[in-house]
Amino acid sequence: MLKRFALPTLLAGIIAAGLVAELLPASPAGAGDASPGESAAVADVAARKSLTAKAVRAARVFKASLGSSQRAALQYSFNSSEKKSGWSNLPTNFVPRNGVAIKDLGSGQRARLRMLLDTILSSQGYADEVAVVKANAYLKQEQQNQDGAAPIVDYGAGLYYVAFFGTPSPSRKWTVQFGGHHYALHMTFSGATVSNTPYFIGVDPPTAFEVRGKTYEPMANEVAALFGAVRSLNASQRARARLSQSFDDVLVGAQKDGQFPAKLGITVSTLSTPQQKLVTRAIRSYVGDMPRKQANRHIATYKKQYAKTKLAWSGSTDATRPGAYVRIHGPRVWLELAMQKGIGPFRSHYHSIERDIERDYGAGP
Amino acid sequence: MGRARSAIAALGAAILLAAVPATAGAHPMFTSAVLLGIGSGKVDAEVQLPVDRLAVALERDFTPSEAAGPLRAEIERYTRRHVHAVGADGREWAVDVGGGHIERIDTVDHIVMSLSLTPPDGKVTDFDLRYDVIVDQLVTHKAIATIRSQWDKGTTAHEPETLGVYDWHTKSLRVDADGGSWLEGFLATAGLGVRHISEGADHLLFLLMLLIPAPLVARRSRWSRRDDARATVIRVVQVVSAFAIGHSITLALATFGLIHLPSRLIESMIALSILVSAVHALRPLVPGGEAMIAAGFGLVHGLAFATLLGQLGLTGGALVSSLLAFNLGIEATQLLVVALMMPSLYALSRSAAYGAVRVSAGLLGIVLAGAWFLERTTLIDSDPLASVSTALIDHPFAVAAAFALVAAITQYLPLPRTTSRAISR
Repeated sequence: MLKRFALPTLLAGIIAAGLVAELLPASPAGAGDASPGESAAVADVAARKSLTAKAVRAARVFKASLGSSQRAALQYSFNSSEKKSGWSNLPTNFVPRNGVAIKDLGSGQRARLRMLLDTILSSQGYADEVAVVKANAYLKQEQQNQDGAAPIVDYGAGLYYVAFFGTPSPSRKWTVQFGGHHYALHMTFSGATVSNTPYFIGVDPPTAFEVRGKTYEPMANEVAALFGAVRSLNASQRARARLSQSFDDVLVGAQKDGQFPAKLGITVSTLSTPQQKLVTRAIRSYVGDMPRKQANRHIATYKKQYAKTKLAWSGSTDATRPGAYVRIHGPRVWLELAMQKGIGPFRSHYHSIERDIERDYGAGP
Repeated sequence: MGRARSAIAALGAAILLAAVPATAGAHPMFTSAVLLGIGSGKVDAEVQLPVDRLAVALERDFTPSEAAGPLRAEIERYTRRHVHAVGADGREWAVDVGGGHIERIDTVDHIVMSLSLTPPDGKVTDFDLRYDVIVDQLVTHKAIATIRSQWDKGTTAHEPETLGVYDWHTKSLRVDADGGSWLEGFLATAGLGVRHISEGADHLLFLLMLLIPAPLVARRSRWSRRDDARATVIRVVQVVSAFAIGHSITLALATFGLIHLPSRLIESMIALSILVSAVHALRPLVPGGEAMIAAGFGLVHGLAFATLLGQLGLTGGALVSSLLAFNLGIEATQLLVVALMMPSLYALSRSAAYGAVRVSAGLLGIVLAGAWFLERTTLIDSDPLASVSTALIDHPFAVAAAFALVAAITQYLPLPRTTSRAISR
């Protein structure tokens, strides 16, 4: 019995089980997003000159230069949850980023991405972006000069990523998300309305550094402007603006969307006119990283809200002291800069973030 | 098939786990850690605080040795003020704080506090763990909370479960200590046993080498055909039971701390055991001695199982249960291997090809085990054949199917067959 019937059945069963087990994991991978071609017609001549129209063109040129799998990786739907979860200030091996990495682009594709960034940022903003990427190249250089154990952090100029949320359009909302270590930009276009938040910018080393014979000092302008505003305060104003809590980083960073604390500090409208101008200069050092016309609109709104806007500091008014911290908190504007306190192998350096409490990620009209 | 599928799933999960880096979070050195061990009568918590961030929170400067020395009592009181456990009934649990030694974690000095949280009625239920150590002052600080062990949910240090992150915005987390069951913990630990033995090429190879001669009989230092299904089944049962008894004895002894051997020695002896059983498959070393070999070396394999079980961080009743469950998982997987391989081996043994199959399998076993032995005794730096054994272990069902296919071909295609009880080699 065993020989005639049971054995062949058993053998066949084992072969079948083997086949099933080997073939099971081979489930089809999700097909990429073949974005529907947007009609390129932009009728209005005036609209063709607008920032949004220029950004749409630059974005389409960049997107068209990509291969189909890269295009699929670049493009997300506007409301994708990955927009909020897939960015950070941390090195990219700690938090994976959305979209396509610079290191995976060819030289022509990189040039088109540079064109896009140059279009959507002001010259001040573009210079910041370039310098932060250079700082990451500097960190890699520094890492390579050290001997010893395998590095736990990935650095390098190629580790910056670009993603589109929503297809580039002159009328409908879409976002360019660009970033990597110490940088995260969200330029959202909604017709003529443009916003750039959340916008994280940080830099290590915190002082001037050199890459290939060129000297960079990113954020020097921001640090001088924010701490300049605090240092303009007299003794009693400083006391009122001082926070009792300590900070070793920004408070409302990545994945902390909407988690704003109660407003604390000194009310900006109670300051002298020159002091208020310094606050405006501080705001412009971030908001002004988008092109002038759009930046001015935001700044005008924020200035009108100075009666409900607070300036605060903690730790030290000397920006170079670890734990030094400045914040501007209005009904809409949120700006904070921290001299992050280093630990272990990490030295102290700057972290900062600009948010618009009502309009982050292009929320609102 | 249900069992086969779950074994595949277990294998898949194991491979995934190995691929994911341990640092899933942010720069770990910037954060505090809260590690919970949930028992039925109380909850143990270990709190790891980076010393220099604690100094910021206490608004003064101190060194790690000062923190563990003159300031220890103050840090203990400070920690006590910032940790509260409140049961589902709204009653506050007793919190005791002790410990306070310095530990270097990710290159950063931490002070490690040991807490015990005890409910008023001595019965652990769901509770809110309120925590703002350091976070109360240094508002940008974070503490990552993890459940390190909870038998009733099958959580062990092998795969701790993230509870959440404390920061200035989140100062209370709900801990689900209710629900779950003894059975859940039992099944999870049994699954760990399944996974461990199906990942461990060495345990399975040892068993296989002993099964190869099971359909044969030793005559004058050579293997001969037996062609007796009943005798083969009896032999298989003997080998499997002997191995089970052998490894169960030492697994239990080592788990309760009654024996302890250095792991390099254990691992080297396991490689040796495969070597012996592979040589035995070529030529009988001890006639009819497979059961003896299985039991003897089973003792060594049990010590290796115990090492893993020891890493789960369980104590008391949970330890007894886990021992039982883990062993059950191992036995079940062993039986699955026997069920997958034995029909093929039996069918093959009735063909002229068996001599060749047996010899090549035996030689492969000798080569793999030899490489392991050299690596484990540090005679060579790395196992040159690691990719071969990994490939085999990654596709256990393919290996079984290939054997079955060869067996089917020799059985049912008109190939030359030995018709007498001739010596097969």
